[in-house]
Amino acid sequence: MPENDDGLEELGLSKSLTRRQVLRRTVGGFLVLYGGTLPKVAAAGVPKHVHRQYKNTLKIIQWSHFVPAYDVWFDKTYTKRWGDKHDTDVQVDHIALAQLPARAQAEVAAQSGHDIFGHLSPQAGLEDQVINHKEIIQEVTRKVGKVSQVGFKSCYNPRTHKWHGFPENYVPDPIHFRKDLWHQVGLKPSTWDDVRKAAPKLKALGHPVGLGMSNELDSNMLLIALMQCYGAFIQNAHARPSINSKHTVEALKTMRDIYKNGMTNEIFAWTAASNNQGYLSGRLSLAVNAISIIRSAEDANPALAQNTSVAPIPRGPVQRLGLEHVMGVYTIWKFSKQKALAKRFIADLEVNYQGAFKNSKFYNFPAFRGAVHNYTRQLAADPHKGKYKVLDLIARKYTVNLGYPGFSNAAIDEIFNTWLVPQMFAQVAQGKMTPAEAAKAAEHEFKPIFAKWRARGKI
Amino acid sequence: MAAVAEARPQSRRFRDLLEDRRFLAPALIGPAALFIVLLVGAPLVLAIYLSMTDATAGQLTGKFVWFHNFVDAWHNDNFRRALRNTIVFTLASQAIVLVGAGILAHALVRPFRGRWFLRLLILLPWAAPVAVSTIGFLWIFDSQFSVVNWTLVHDLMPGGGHFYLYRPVNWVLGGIDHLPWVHVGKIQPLNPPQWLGQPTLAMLAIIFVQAWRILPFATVIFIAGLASIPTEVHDAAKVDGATGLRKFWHVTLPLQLPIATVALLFGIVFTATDMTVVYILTSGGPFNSTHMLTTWAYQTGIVSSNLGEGAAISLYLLPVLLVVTVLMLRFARRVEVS
Repeated sequence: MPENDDGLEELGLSKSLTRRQVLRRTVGGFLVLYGGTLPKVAAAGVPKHVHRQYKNTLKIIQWSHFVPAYDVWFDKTYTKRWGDKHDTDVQVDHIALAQLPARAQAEVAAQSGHDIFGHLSPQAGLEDQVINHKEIIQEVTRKVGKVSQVGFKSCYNPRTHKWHGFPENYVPDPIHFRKDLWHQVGLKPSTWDDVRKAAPKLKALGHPVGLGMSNELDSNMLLIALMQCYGAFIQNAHARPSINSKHTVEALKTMRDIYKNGMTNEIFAWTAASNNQGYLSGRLSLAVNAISIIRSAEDANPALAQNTSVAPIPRGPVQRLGLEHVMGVYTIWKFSKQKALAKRFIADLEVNYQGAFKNSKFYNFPAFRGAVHNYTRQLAADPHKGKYKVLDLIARKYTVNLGYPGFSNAAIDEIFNTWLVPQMFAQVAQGKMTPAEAAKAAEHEFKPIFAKWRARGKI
Repeated sequence: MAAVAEARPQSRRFRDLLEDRRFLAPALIGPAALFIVLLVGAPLVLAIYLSMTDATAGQLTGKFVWFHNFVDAWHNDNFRRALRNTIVFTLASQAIVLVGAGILAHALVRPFRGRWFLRLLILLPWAAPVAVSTIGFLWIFDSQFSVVNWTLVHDLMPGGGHFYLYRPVNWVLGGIDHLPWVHVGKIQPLNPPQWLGQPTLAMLAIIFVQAWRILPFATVIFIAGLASIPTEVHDAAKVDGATGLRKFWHVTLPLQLPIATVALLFGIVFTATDMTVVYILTSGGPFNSTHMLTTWAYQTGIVSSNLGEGAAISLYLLPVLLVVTVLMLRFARRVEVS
C-alpha cells in the first residue's frame, strides 16, 4: 500500500494528504503569513507614541472606586500632574474589590506586577512580601501630624515592629435609615434594643431592616461592629482569642431576635451590593453601609435621599463602637524596582489628601487627620443640608480597626477572610446552634488560627 | 545498498525520516508531553511540596511540616463539610448529567427538521464562558430580584385572573411533606425561597447550574457514541426481535457504555475540580455551608495567605480522583467494542 501511494503521489494523483504534505503546507502557510506581515511592520516603522516619553514608569493597582468620580480624578488629573512633575508615566489599573486579594497573591507569587498595590483591608498576612513603610509614615507625620489610631493599629505589627502597609484612608461606617418609616413605628435606631423593638413593626409594614449575615464584606463588618457594641471581641489587646464570652452570646441573641422577627432569609444570600440595592429599591428600612447608599440615592432618587438619615451605629449595652467600613492600605512590594518613586507618590498623595477627600465625595477619610484642612467645615458645606457632618463624629469617636482592641494581624485577616463571624451569627439565626454553642464553636475555630500565626512569629 | 542509499537525494532521506515511526511518533508527541510536564506535572509537584511546608503567601518555600497541614485541615469542621459537599456535588450533578445526556442524545441522534438548530442550542451552555453564564444564574437566583421567585409569587394571568404559580407548587410540596422524614415547607409569597440563602437550596442551585453546564459536553459525546454503533448491529437486533427498552438494555446501552464512561470520567474530574460555579453563586455561603474543596482551598491558601494549608486542602481529592480515573479507564478498556 505505501508503495502504491508513493507512486500516485509522484504522479500528482494522490487523493488524500500525507503527513509530510500536511507538515509542509502548514510550515509554508505560516511562512507566507509571517512574511506577509513583516513588510507591513517594516513600512509602519517603530510604533510612535503620541504621548510624552517619561524617564520612569510607576504602576499602581487599586479597586474601582464606589464613587466613579474619584477614579476619574485620580487617573486623569492627580496622577498625570504628579507624573509630569516627577518625569514619570503613572499607570493605574483598576479591578473589582473582590478580586484584590487574589490579584495581590498572584503578583507576589510571580514576584512581578505593580509597584504600588492598593488594598481595601490591612494585609498583615503579606508582611514578608512588602517593604517596611515606616519611612513614609515618618515623612507624612512630619508634614501633617500623627496617624490616626485606626491607621496605626491596622498597619503596624508590634511583634515585628514593621509597618506592613501605609494607611491611606478609612471609610466611616454609618447606618442609613428611612425617616418616614421609623417615625411611623415611633422609634429611632439609637440603640440595638431600639432596632430589636422596631424590626417586627417595620417588617409588618413591608420594610424589613437589612442586616446581612452572608459571606461578604458588609455582613462581616456589621456583625463585628455589633459584637463590639456588646463588649465582645475576636481578640483581646494581647492578640489572644476572646470570642467565647457572655458578651458574644448576648450579641448573638440580639441578632437572632432581629432576624426572626424583623428580617427575611434573603440576608443569608446577600452580596456586598445587596443592602445598597435593597435600600435603594425602597424596600429596606435600615442598612449599615458606607455613604455609597446615600450618594447613590442623591443621584438616582433624591426623594429617598431626602428621606434618609445617616447616623452612627446604634449603641449596645456596653458601648457604641463601629468599624471602618474599608481601610485603604497602600503597600510597596519588595520586588518593586521603583521603591523610591513609589514612596514619594504615596507620601505626596497623603500630604495633599484634600483632592482625594473631595473627589471621593467624603467617602475616603484621611488616615492622617491633618492631611485635610478643616474637613469638618467641608462636611458641613455639602449641599445636602449638613447630612455628612455626622461622619466626622463617627470617624473620630466610633471607628476602630479590625481586630480592636488589639492590632490587625494575620489571624484576624484569616478569620475575616474565611467569614467565620457571619458563619457564627447565621448558624444561630437559622437555629442550627444555640448562641453559647456558636460562641464555643467559633473559639474552637479561632484558637488554631491564632496559634498558627503566633508560631510563625507574626503575632 | 549503501551506494543506493547515498545516491538518494537529500530530501528523500528527510522524507523517509519523517515517515519513520521511531522519529515521527516522538516528534509529534514530544510537544504535548513537554506541555503536560511543564504545565501540569511541575505545578503538581510544587503543590505536593508546598502542602508539606508552612509556606505563606508569595513564598514558594517554607519550613517542612510533613503532614501537619493535612491533619490541621482534617480537624476543621468547614473542611470536612467542604469535602462532603464536593462528593455530593460531584455525584449528584453527574447523575443528572448522565440521565439527561442519555435522553437528549437518543432524541437528537434521530433525523428531524431543525435538528442542527436544536443541537446548537443545547451546545450553547458549554460554549458560553462559565463566568458569564454563572453570573446569569446569580441574577436568576438573586436574593431580592430573583426571576424565579417573581414568577412564583406574581399573578401570571393577564387581566387580573389570579393565577399564582406558588399555589400549585405548594400543593405538590404539601404532598411531599406527607412523606416520612421529609420536610420541604411551603412557599410564602412575602418571604419566597432564598435559592442561595439556605444550605439545601443553595446546594441544589449549585448542582443544577453545574449539571446545566456539563450536560452539553456529555450529550455530544453520547451522540458520537450512538452514531458509532454500526447499523448492522441495529439490524441484527431488529431481526432477533429486540425493540424498545429491550433493545436499549441489551444492545445500545452495552455498546454505549465505553463512551459514556469517558463522559462520566471527564464530568467527575471537571466537577470535582471546579470552583467557578460555587465561587460566583454563593462564595461558599450561607455560613460556609456550600464550600467545596476548591473554594475552601482558595479561601485558606490564597485569600488568607496560608499557602501550605491551601495546597494540602486542594490535594485531598487527588488520590480519589486518581483512583476514579484508573478505574474508569480500566473499565472503559474492558467493555470496549472491538
